[in-house]
Formats: sequence, structure tokens, C-alpha cells
Amino acid sequence: MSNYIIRRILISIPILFIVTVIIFTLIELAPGDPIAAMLMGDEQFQMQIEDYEQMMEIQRRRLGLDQPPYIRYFRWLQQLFRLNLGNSLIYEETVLEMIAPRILPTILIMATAIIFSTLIGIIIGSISAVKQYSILDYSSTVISFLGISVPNFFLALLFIYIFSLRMGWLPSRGMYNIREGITVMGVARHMILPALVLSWDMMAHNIRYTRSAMLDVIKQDYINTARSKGLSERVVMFKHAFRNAMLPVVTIIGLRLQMLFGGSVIIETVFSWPGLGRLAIEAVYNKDYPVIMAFNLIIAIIVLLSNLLIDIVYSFIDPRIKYD
Amino acid sequence: MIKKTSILLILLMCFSVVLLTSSAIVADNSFSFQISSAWGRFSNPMYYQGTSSQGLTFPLAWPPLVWMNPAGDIVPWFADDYEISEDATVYTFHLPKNATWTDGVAVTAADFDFTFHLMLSDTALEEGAIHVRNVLIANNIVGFAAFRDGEAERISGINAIDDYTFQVELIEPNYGFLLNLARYPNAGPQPKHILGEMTYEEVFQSYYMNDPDVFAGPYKFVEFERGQHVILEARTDGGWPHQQPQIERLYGLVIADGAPGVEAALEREELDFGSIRSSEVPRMSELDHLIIESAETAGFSFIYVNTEKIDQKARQAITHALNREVLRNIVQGDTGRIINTAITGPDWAVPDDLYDYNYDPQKARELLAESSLDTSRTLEFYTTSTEVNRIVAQFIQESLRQVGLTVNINMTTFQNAIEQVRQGNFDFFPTSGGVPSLDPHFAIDYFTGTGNLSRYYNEELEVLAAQGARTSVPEERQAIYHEASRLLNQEVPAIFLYQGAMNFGLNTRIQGFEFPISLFETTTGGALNWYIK
Repeated sequence: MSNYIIRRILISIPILFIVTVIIFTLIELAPGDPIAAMLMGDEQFQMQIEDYEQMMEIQRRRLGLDQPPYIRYFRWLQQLFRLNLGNSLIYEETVLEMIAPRILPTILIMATAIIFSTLIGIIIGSISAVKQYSILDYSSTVISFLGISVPNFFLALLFIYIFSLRMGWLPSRGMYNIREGITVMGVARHMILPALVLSWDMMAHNIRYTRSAMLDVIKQDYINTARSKGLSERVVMFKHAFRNAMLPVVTIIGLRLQMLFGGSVIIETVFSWPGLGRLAIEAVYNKDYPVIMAFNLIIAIIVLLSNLLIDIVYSFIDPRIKYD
Repeated sequence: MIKKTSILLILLMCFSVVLLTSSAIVADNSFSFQISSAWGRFSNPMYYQGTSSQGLTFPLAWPPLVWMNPAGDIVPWFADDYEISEDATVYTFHLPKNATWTDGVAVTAADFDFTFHLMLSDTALEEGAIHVRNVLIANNIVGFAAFRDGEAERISGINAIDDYTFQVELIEPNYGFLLNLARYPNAGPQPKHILGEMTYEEVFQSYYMNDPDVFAGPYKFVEFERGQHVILEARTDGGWPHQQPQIERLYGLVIADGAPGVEAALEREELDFGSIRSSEVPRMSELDHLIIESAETAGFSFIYVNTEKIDQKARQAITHALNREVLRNIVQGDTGRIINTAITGPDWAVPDDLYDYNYDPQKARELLAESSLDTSRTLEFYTTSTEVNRIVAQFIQESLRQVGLTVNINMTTFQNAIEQVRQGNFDFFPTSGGVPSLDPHFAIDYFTGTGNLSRYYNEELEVLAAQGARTSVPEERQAIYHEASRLLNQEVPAIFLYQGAMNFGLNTRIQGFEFPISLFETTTGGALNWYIK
């Protein structure tokens, strides 16, 4: 197993390199000039055109934007080897300093969403399959289709309107009440809406996949054999059916992790959640390429690691799968 | 057993829900207000980049000599008072004698002298303090050129006459100097006793630029969390020499303008003051703990037109083709005058004989026929992707279709839109905000110098702008700006739409609050009058 993990990590390095090249190229191709936007306010100062052009040149030189793209890319890469992600063009802080405090809030909201959507999705999906064509099955089908078809930004606004604006139950923004400071209850309260919205789509998919996987499995001969041996229905379902049904579900959960990251960009923006996603949106708007590169690098690493993790989990769920 | 466990779990869940959804209102001596943007480096006013979160909070910790009160009037802030010489070239600021930094050291004219030299150094420009030089209109300060060219170590026109008298001498009168000083919060003092022994390069590398710990204003900067909030705490050491702050803590919460989060936060009393959407006014007005007010702001909405591609007749035609009253009602309700020029205030600056471009599609067609505009060409409308911009773009597209013009809407990022505008690849680019109606000096900037995104040039307007800046005599200023206003009215270098308007919500527990003429520029100018009921 350890050899397999090392091999997979080594294969990831050239993949990451290719990802950075693609992202950098896309940023370069995107229209927009960060310096022009940065100096926008100065146009109101009745400057001489020559002064303005000179100021743009100074800023371009200062931020290294006067260099051709390939040199900037290799400089960035060079810094990366020294574990330096560079400086933000707009905020002029190191990217590491900007990203570090954002990681925990994003992990918090994503982990909550993953746990919630996995638990609820699998439980409801399993019950749906066992009680096929019952009211619960129909209800879960409706809920899951709604979850899949309603975009999460719309759901976010809807939840803010209902739970925050109309009912006044939950806060609509931020990670904690600024007057209270950071408290466990405060963060938990603020996390309910964004985590719920973020998990909704994943939960819907989990319900559907668990239901269909369970339906497949409970029709298998070995389930009938287990029943005929006189095992209780609970043992049949949990020990024989559920474990086998989990293999495709785990694959789906792993694949949706990356989509969850994408979803968090929108959710963090709508709920003013101080995570990585919100930072990334700002960076894209500002064409702040060091921050965009860092964000995408993190996503790429998470994608690769989550795929590796799924492969490892397979071997625990299905003892037939061996990597060495 | 299973039943018991299930009941226990259900009870636990119910208890958690009640606990988590319980109201989080804390009644304390604090005030929270909305700020809409978190752009820019936030550690020091040297890095001011024109964002509301900086503009509303920096002057409370680094007090400039003068500032704007909520009504938009220029008032002494750190200075006790100031004088302008008869020829309007020498500005003398008298400073209080009992002011100290939060570390107990006296704040003197030497701090301002040091700060102004630092602001105008090349190092500031090279270190990312990019806006400071322009705020002071540096080229018009006596001795700046020699200082910039390395011929002099000091700027001869900037002097600390004594500990409590600070003076700036201009080459020629420019009323904009005082206006800029009041409007842009870069010029608050930097502590000379901490930074004065360093070279300018060392100053910008020092901890103070990133993590300042000493302040001269009525409040201390406690915390800034990008995209989240700014926290300021009232000083209790008596070092602020003027009216003492009555609110212990100020919280600036970053919530985008027009977002539902503002209303929710006001309703839950997490936010004490913020703007609300006009559609929410009737509902919010029924809440006992809020005062709702709709008011015209000092900003306006207009559309830059590429004057190199669209001539005067066509611009007039386009203005006639728009039912601007309907557009205003859709965007901001019925508050905010329809405007026909850039100079929309104060009252003394607005002539009463301006031509009214009323909605008249027939007239628009006639004027278009007289213009040189090729009506078969598709006009490019560049704008950023906000809800209001989308509405404005679609309204204009449909209105111009009625008079035979085709408009292509490009909704893009701000950076790309600006790039297209600067390269002249656009026909229309909408904008709004600012404080043009506070003084015609601000308004005229939009169509002269580099502020002129319409690519418009009019020799007469340039002369009037220069004349207007050179005098502070009210009668002279009125005559100059009336003429400029008429010129802008005839020339229509932009499609003028309407004066801005905003609906504000204020928690009734806050007393002494004056509704600002600009939410994002003058709200905190009255901070020292605020107190809790």
C-alpha cells in the first residue's frame, strides 16, 4: 500500500505542473489590466496624461508586470520551490499570509457539509431503497431532485430570505457576531445556513446514488442466501447489503468533493463567509494572478489527494481490492 | 432502549436548534455600520485606494487636518482651524496644543510636515502608496518639483512654522487642494517620533506600515479582517484634543450594497446603520427598532459616451430617447432629480436656465438624422455585471432600439471594461457615485484631464475648470461654474441620468446620528456625536 501511495504522489507532481501552466495561460488570455483598475481613482485628480502614463509604468515595473508572461511564470515557479506563493498584486501582502487565515473557515464549512450530506444522504437513500415505493421513498425522490435542480446561489438567497429575513432565526452573513467575538455557539449558528446550502446538492446526489446502489445490491443472490440462513433483516441490510452498496457511493462522494470546492466559492460570497472561495472570487475580478494560482494549486492538490483517499477507502470497503 | 435513545436524540436536536437559532443581540456601547468594499491594503492610510472601508475609518485613527461632516461640508478635524491667504495660495493650519499619540508623545506640526514629505516622496510611489501624490495636487506645491528631481531635500512650500502651526504654500490658487485634503483620508499624520529617523525606504519596510500600534485620532485601529469587518476602539487616554467619542467600539461590517444581507443584519440588530433596497422600504418601515429614511445623495448616475465616435447631435438625440424618469423609478424609486448636466450642486452652482432633455423619441430621431452617427453601426455598451448595470443596459438597449439604434451589451469585469474604455473600444460605459454635487470642482473633474473617460476635450471647459480651481471667491466661482454647467448641458459629453438616492435604515438606539449625503464617504464624519440611547 505504501509503495502505491508514494507512486501516486510522484505521478501527481507533473500533473500539478501542467495544471499551473494551463491556469497561468488562461489568466494571461483573460482580458483586463490590474494596473488600470488600481489607478482608476486617480483619473479624477486632473493629472496630466503623461504623469498618468508614467505612474502606470512605475506600478507595472514595481509589480513585475512589465516582464513577458513566460518569465513571470518561471519566477512564480521558482518562488514556489521555495514554498513562497508570491505577493498579491492588489493587496501587496504575501499570498501565504492572505490564504492561511482563510483555510480553516473553508475547511470548517466544507467538512460540515460533507459530513452532513454524507450521513443524511446515505441514511435517507438506504431507507428509500429498503422501503421502495413508500411515501418516504417518494418524498426523498422529490427532495433529491429539488436539490439537484435548484442552483445553490438561488437556494442561498431563498434560505436567507426565509430563515434570516422573514423568520429572523439565523444570521445571514459572516462567521460570528462581531459584538460577541468568536464563540463555538456563535460560529455554529452562523455556519448553519451556508453549510446547509453547500451540502444540499451533495446530499441530493448521495440519496440518489445510495438508493440505486442499494436497490441493485438487495436483489443479488447473496442477499437471498443471507436471508435464507436466518439472519435478521438488520444484519442482512447493514452487514451484507450496505457495505457492498457503498463502493459506487464513495466514488461519487470523492468526485463531488471538487464540485463542493467550486460551490463554496459562491456560497462564501453570498454569506460573506471569510474562506478561500471568497478570496478567489476577488482575485479573479482583480486579475490578481498570484492569488488565483495559489487557489487553483490548492484545489488541484485537494483533487489529487481526494482521489488517492478514495482509492485507499476502496480497499477497506472491499477486501478484494489490493494495490501491492 | 432504542425508543428511549431516539427520544433523547430528538430532544437534544430540538435543544440545539433553539440554542443555535436564539437571537444574538448584545446591547452594548457599540455602533455597527455598513461598508461596501474591502478593496485595497488596509494597514496604513498611505495605501489609501479610494475604497469606502478605508475612507470611512482611516480618519478616525489617523486624523487629517480637515474632513467632511455628514452633510459634506469641509470642517476642521485635527486642526483647531485654518486660514487661507488673500491670494489663496497659502493654507495655514492651527493645531491643538494638548494632542498626543496613543503612546503619550505630543502630536505636532512636525508630524504633518514629515507625513506630507513622505507622501510626496518617490519612495511612496515606488512602494505602492500610489494615490497620495495626486491627492495633494503635488505639482502645484511650491518646491515640489525640486524635491522630486532630487535638487532639494525638503519641499520649500511645506513647513512646520512652530509646533502648532502647519503651512502649505501653493504655486497658484487651487481650491481643489482643500477639497481633496478633506475628502481623501491619506493625509492623516504618521508618527515622526517612530519613523522620523528612518530613510523613506526603511519607513515603508517598517512594522508601522503593516501593523501600526500608535494612533492620533479619537479611535484606535483594533482589527481589520479582509472582506469581513473593521473594528475601532475609542481612546480613553485623553490624547484626542477635541470632542471625545461617546461610542466605545465602532464596527464597520463589509456588506455589498444592495445585498439582502444588509436588511437581514439590520433586522437582527447586527447592523445599526446601512442602506436598504427600495423594494424593502415598506416592510422595513414597519419594524419598531428602525428609522427608515430615503434621501438624495451627493453622487449621480451617468453614462460615459465615446465622444470621438458619437457627435454632439447624436448624444443629444440619445438623451432625448431615454425616459430617464422611468429608469430612475426602476433603479432607485422616485427619489433623485433627473439631471441635465454634471454640475448638480450645491444650489448656488446650478443655473436655472438649463435645457431639459425630456423624453421625446421623435426629437431624438430628428437629431439623429442631423448627426454624423452611422445608425447602422452596432453600439458597444460595456458594463460590469451588477443587477443595476444590467437593468440600465437593457433599458438603454430597448430605448435606443425604438429610435433605430442597435446596442450590444458587454457585461464584463471592471478591469476589462476599464481597459476597453481607455483604449476607446466602447460607445457607452455607465458609472455612478462619487460626491460631484458637494462642489462643482469634483463634478467638472469627470470631463477634464485624465478623469475624462468620454474622450471629450473642450478648450473652453478646460479654461473654466482651471479658473474655477484658482478662486475661492463665491461670486466668481458661481459665475464660472454656471458657465461650465451650461456648456456641459449643451455638449452632453455623457448621458446624464439622475441624482443618486439611497434608503437608509438606522437602529433607534443610536442617537446624535446625522444621515450622510454619501453613505460611503461622509457617514463617519459625525462619529463623535453618536451615542446610545
